[in-house]
Amino acid sequence: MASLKRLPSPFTLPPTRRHEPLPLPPPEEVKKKLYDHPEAQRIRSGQLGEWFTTPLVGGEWTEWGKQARPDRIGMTFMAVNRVSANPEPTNAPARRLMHSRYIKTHHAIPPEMEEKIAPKYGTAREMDRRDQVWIEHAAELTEEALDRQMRPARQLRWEEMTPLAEDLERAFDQFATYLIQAMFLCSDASGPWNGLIHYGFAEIKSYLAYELFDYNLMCGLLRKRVMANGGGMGVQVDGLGAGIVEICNEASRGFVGEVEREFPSVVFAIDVLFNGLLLEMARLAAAGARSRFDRHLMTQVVQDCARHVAFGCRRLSFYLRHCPDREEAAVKLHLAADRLEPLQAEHHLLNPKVLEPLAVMLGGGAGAIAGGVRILREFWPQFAASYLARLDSIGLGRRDRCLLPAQPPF
Amino acid sequence: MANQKVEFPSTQWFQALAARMNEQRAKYQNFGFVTARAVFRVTATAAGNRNFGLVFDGFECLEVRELTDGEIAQFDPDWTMEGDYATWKEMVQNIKAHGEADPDHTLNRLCLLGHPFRVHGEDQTRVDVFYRQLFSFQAFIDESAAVETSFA
Amino acid sequence: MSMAIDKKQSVERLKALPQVQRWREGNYEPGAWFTSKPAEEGGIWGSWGHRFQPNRRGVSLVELNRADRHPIPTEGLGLLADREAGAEPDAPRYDYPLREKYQVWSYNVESLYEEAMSRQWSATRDIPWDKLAPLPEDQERALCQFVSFLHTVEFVPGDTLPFYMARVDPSFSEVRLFMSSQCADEARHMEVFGKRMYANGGGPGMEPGAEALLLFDPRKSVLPQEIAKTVSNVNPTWDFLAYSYFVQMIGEAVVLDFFRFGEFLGRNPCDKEMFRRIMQDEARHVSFGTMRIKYYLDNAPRREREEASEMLHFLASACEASGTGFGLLLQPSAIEPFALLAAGSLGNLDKGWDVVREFWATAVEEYINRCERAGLPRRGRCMLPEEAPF
Ligand SMILES: [Fe+2]
Ligand SMILES: [Fe+2]
Repeated sequence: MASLKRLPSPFTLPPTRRHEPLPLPPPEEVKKKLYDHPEAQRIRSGQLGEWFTTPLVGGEWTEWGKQARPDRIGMTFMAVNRVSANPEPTNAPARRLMHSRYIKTHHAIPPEMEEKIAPKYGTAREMDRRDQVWIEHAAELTEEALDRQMRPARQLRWEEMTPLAEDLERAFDQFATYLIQAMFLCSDASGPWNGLIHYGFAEIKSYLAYELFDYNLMCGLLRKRVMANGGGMGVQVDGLGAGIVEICNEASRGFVGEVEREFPSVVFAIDVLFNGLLLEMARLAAAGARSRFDRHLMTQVVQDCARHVAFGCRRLSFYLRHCPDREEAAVKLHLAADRLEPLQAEHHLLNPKVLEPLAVMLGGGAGAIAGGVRILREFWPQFAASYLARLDSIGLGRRDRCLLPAQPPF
Repeated sequence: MANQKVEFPSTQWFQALAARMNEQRAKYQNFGFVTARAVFRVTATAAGNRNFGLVFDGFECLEVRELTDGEIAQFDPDWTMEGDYATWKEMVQNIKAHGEADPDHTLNRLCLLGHPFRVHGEDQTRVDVFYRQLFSFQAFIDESAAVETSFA
Repeated sequence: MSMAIDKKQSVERLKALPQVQRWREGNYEPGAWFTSKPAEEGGIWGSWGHRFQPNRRGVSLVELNRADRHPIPTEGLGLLADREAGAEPDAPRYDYPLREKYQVWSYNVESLYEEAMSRQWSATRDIPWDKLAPLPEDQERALCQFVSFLHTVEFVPGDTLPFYMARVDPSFSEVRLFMSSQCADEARHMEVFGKRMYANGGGPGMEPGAEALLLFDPRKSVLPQEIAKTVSNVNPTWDFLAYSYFVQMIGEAVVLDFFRFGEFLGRNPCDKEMFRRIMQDEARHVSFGTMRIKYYLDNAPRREREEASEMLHFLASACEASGTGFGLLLQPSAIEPFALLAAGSLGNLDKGWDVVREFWATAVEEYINRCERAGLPRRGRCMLPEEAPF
């Protein structure tokens, strides 16, 4: 076999380093020092620290006497935020690294110390401004993400998986392989960004953790599905990440260095555009699914992607309304879109490894593929239409320059 | 109530679905909570176009009311699902026959191409709620399997 | 103006794509993905003929992998999809930073992931919040300070795990899946503690890290500062093995012990349920970390293994000497409220400290056992005293 071209993995990440072993003090010395540790001394003295001695009101204790009541859904973020003194993150720069907005900062920690304990770059302090992170109704969307997360043990009935004719099984498996690849791509592209978001934005951090799990959860289920029903994994879809990988790497700058990074471009690429396309693909696949089980799985993909799209739209809409320079921000996003749309149209929307299996599924077999193509053709305008309507809604109208074809090119 | 026939389309008919949803909290908790203002629109009935505004919150349908065309905007729906009477009837009968929508009569399938059903709204990000909470809306419509429906 | 032309050109370009031309001519013959043989027979299709009869547990990865005639490769395939996917003959291969099985695998990762999936829960709905009852003031204060501390700590793994996930070759998807489930778990933990602060009248307490900062003179720290610094903050540039040791094997292990005691100290069904749920999750994370280190040490080439082992022992000594990962065992915001909860009332504080001493001994013993299980013997070299230094 000809030697294969080798490339670095698509998304650039900081290199890792091993700890260099250094000489350590002998254990006896360590034990002695632990014995002399100020906390050990205090414990032996029978005292408790300031957390106990500070007045509950007017001292260092944050909020005594607050009591949240569960709402219609349960003990939601909304229920907590209703009583909290900090229902939303503010724009005050974070003065700590590991610090939740629900908890007050201690008055005695001097600014010099703050600098030392809270380096900005490469940490969760990189993004600590509302325009960089926040969305409208963050609490609600986070609760939805948790509540609508797939619970395979409760919701999936594997016994409803039905053996399919070979052509239909192959088509489904190919489509699933595409989805697996797409979900890994989203997971890799957006996952690490969560580590750059400050703890003040608890809802967003939770939301992103759930989005990450959505992707991987679905990968696992799709793998099980294709490995259990007579078929197997299909063919990797080359070029699926066209444009996305480059935009995301430019935005992250490999997550190294003391530089500004561009989260909005990643949100645009992954949540708004890519998940938007996946959403439409999954609607088609749900309609073409040949068993109740397959339909259920695809409907879950529809729900998941629609939620991710909702996050993306709210994020960008908040960003555009609150960022320091709206014009410049919009220009940057438009430029990203200019690059992404033609590449995604070519390598994703018109990829035979994506469209052909869909056409087989929708037609009801390889022999009836023409019927499937007819459906795809008729469906086609919705790809661009829904995408453009979303962009209108967030204030990033692109009707005059969108390069996703409005009509099927075939 | 089980033996009493309820006419489609009517406020009572949608209320019957709502009642079934509200008494099966555990089932709907399994899907996740719903927060939506929805309009189901049935066109070309004997009495013209009929609109039903439904408010979903938590695991319940809190409100069902009939709306005139002019009242829809004020109701402020996230999305409207619209189709003609004949398609609605076919779907309801199909659900009755199978206990739930068969593959050709799911909401997603009927809406896929913009016909015979169409989901639309003023703001696409609010229309997306339909997709975000699809399991619940499908289960809600599937409740009609247990409702004795008569057609005008 | 140029936009209109661009649009037109763009459509023309798409229409000229070979597959689009074929479709335009009405030729819908599916391509090689449809006609090709599976990879093992020389084709580009991935693999074929896998059947699995779902059983009471549905389809579990444990059984599915066992039933698969294609073993998990020792080296990742460098594809963008899961293992056993196929690829075009000229498709490039990607060098993921973690591409050897021994670098990432854990003996029990499949079953742990299955457990994680079936044991997901919701801080919003699965905790009996209505069963909370008012506690004596000192007890509510202690609980709120304890959970204020935990609330903050729970953010840490989710900040860093995704970096490692993206480094793992997708051929070992189970490892990625498990880590993603841990991210969801930790988000829930952060949530449930945040919600508990507000649920019973106590509210968030004092800034959890403040006392240690104000009280402890870094010049008197147990370790020389340059070493102390290397183990004070985990970040995604750490070697993956070091990361697993620091976060999953020592940090979360101590946290797990806290939760086990917390469950026993809980005064009402709500607090008990909260700690019980988290305990289950945390036990999975610790187990993954432990069995992953073991897998590495069992399977890495000799030189690699020796170097790794040396690094791990160094790290272990440094972490132990600084009171374990996160400095947990001497953290005033954790152990003091803990003692007061164990005491039941301020008058009984001495008894509470007895419980903490017991807790210390248990935590250290279990940690040493786990290290042994992982093939990293620390008995006799562990820097942590087996008995509490207070
Ligand atoms: Fe945790
Ligand atoms: Fe954990």
